[in-house]
Amino acid sequence: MSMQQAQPASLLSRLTRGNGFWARALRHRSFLAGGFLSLLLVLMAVVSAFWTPYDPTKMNFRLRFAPPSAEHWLGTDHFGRDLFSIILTGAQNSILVGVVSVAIGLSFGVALGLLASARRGMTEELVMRFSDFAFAFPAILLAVMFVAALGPGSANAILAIGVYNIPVFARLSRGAANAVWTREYILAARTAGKGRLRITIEHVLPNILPVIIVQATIQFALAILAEAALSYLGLGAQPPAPSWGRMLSEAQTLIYKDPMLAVYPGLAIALSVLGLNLLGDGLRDIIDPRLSRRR
Amino acid sequence: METVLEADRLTVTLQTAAGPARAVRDLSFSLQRGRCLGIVGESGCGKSMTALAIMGLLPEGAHTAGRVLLHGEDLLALDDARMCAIRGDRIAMIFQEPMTSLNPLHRIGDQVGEALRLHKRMGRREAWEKALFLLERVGIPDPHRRIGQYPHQLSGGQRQRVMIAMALANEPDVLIADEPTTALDVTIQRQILDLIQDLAAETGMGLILISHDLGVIAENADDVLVMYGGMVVEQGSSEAIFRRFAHPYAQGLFAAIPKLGAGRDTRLRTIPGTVPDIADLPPGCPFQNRCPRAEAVCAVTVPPMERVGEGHRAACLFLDKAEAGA
Amino acid sequence: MSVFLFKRLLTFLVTLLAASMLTFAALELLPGDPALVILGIDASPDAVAALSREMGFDQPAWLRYARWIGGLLQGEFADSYTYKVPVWELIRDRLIITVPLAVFAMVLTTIFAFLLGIYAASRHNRPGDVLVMGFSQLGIAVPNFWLAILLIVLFAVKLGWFKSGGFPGWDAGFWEALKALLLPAIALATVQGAILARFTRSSLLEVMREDFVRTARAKGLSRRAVLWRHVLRNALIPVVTIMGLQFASLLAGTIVVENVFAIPGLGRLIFQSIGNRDIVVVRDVVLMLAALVVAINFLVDLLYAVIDPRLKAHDI
Repeated sequence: MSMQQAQPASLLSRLTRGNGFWARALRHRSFLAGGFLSLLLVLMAVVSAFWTPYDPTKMNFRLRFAPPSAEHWLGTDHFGRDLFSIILTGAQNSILVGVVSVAIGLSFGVALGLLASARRGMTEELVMRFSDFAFAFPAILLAVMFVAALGPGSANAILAIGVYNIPVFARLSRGAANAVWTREYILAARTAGKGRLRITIEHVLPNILPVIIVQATIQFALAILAEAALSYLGLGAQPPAPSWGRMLSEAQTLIYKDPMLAVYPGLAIALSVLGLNLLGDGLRDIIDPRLSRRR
Repeated sequence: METVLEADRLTVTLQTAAGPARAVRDLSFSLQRGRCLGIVGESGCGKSMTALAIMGLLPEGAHTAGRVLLHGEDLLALDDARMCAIRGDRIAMIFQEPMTSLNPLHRIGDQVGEALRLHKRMGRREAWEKALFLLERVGIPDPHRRIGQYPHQLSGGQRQRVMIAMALANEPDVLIADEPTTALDVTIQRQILDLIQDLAAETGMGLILISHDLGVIAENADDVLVMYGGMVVEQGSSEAIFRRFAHPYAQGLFAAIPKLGAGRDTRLRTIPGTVPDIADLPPGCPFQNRCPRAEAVCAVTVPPMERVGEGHRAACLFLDKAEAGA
Repeated sequence: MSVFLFKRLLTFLVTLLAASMLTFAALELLPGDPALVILGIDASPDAVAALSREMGFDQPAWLRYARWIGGLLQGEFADSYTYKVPVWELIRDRLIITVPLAVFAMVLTTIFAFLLGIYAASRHNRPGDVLVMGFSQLGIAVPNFWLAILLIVLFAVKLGWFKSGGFPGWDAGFWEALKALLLPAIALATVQGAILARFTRSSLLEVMREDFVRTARAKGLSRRAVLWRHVLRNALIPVVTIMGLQFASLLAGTIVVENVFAIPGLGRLIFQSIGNRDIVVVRDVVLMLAALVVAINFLVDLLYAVIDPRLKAHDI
């Protein structure tokens, strides 16, 4: 479905009427706010890939701790680097973390969940016990150990977060898939002699997709938070790659000198996470109003 | 006869997704001490909303107009605090779903005693004793054991008896029973209805019995209101109404009851069409779309209540014709 | 013992076993020869090999795992490579800081969440509700370590009411120690409190739609009385589960927050030990934390039986 650029007000009012997906989406205020913030995050990452006001790694010792000005919108840091440029570039890191870790969790997790649901029995029991265990084990503890074992670095941090996402998606897709398997048309497909794999791909997966998309948005936000924490501890992104989490750990040592250094990166993280969470909650409401009540 | 409860052009407007909907329109009745008023109609006709309006427990965003007088005092004009003093004390209500209408985490005795402690300022022990008496009175076997149990340990019929005990705790002037037996087994339905009748006769309270089942109403009610699309379409004494239904809807409803002794090949008559959505009622008579006697005028004129016989009125523009056909 | 309790206990033990294996396996991957870590980079290869043999580092993994678990079961802890004292002593000194911190944070979380959740639910869809829910969305999005830094900036740097970090020890007096834990506890509690407030609200709203709530109103109870006497306890059942998980998150969250405030607790110990490649400390502390987490979830299950009579009748 494509949405045209809203031109006159009449078009907008026509778009928001009715009960289609986009009409409901355009009426949903927190979805719009979340969509705007998330789009902003993507835009920051894309723009910074091609252009930043200054080179985010270029130091200028004559211009350390500069206050915000027309040249440097957010001022400069302790190395005289342009803060706005670093924040802008940091979005790339966050997007990368979110996309890759969710992709890992989603592909393995959904596959496991679908498998458990299609085969039931021991397979299902095994998958569920595995995810139960992962739930009981705090995420950050797992990530810290994982990264410590493999060595600090962005890739390992992303991998650790991705692995933690697997049971989340496994449990979710198994539950949703089980509900689909009980429906009549599945029975019809089975009596027609279709195999489990084919039914899973043709009927189950498309049906559970909305739930998975909603969860992916939420996990994206959690991944950004987790990566920021790991980078803050020095286990994630390594210098000089711009990362909001690491910026905060550097800023903490300078809070007596320039407390504002600790404000911007945190704000960037919080707004990104807020946007994605609002987007996810909004999607949930719009796709299926009954889902939001279950939570 | 002493009138305990009176409704005077009661109107309830609900806030729905599709806009405001008049769930009850210009409903009037009076209930005497010791009498049973039956309200009958299909689901969505406004029966339950009438009950909730009397109780002051309408869903949020609902508006009321008209008056509901309890011993002459207008309940609709009271604020919630004043209404709380009347609810459960002067007016009590029994709900349709005994399985979910009791708090699963509180003991039976505490739930029955709660209204006593609230309105009669009884202490815990005194309320417990009275609750035990009430449970015995509503025919719960082994009340000494049951009183300390939780709802999940009781059967549906027993739970409905508990609901009755709860409603009767303060000997109200008016008892509203909203489909009290619909969720129960057929064998228990009769027992529960008899119990309610006995208790009502014993205490002299006015009883409003709401049901979709014309049979239940016929057996229990002294006066009857037939509702359709939020409106009263026929009203009168049980005797007069069941002797001769005047409104085509009531006639259809009666014809739809399977009759004992009717031949096996007698087709059960049903009313064609479905209940209209109250948010989207046509102008004029609400029954026009399903009525066998509807004419063009029915689409524009809301039929007024007209006298059919002694204490018997109905709202149809073609009453004479209807009677002729009956 | 009842079936319910037995099942929970079994899960408890199996989870602990799995946690110990996972921890051990993860640390096997840790690069660096522990003997080299102990002796320092300048040590001769012969000395490293000798120590490896002496400490059993050259033995197969399953044997070392068995020895570790066997030792723990007999209450024997290995010596830390870096601190040269039994790990238990290290843990003991830090447990008395981290557990109070987590409990403190949990108390704040609960107060915060219940006040806001009940307030929001009682003004469902009115401005107060919308405002509280908006703020809680914000609270969920804020990284706890950032909040910690902001608290330091505001209360330590600008206002000077608190120290920017450190812990004076319980010997310095109860209130003094508690004061040092206040900012870290707030940093931990804000995020979890926001999550719990939302959850409490939706749980309350769900119960408010139940039939028995209407019954209670029909008895003449006011909205407020119904909320306190009938709704709250029913709504608490799902909330308690979340609280159990949250306490686990708080314990784990101390890894980050203790580092922000330089509080010498378990979180900081594990983080430093990872940096020092002090495997024996890491594995014991991780297992300790995992045991705490699992034990809390076990307690939550028991708490259910207290709240919900339906469970008592069937399972206990």
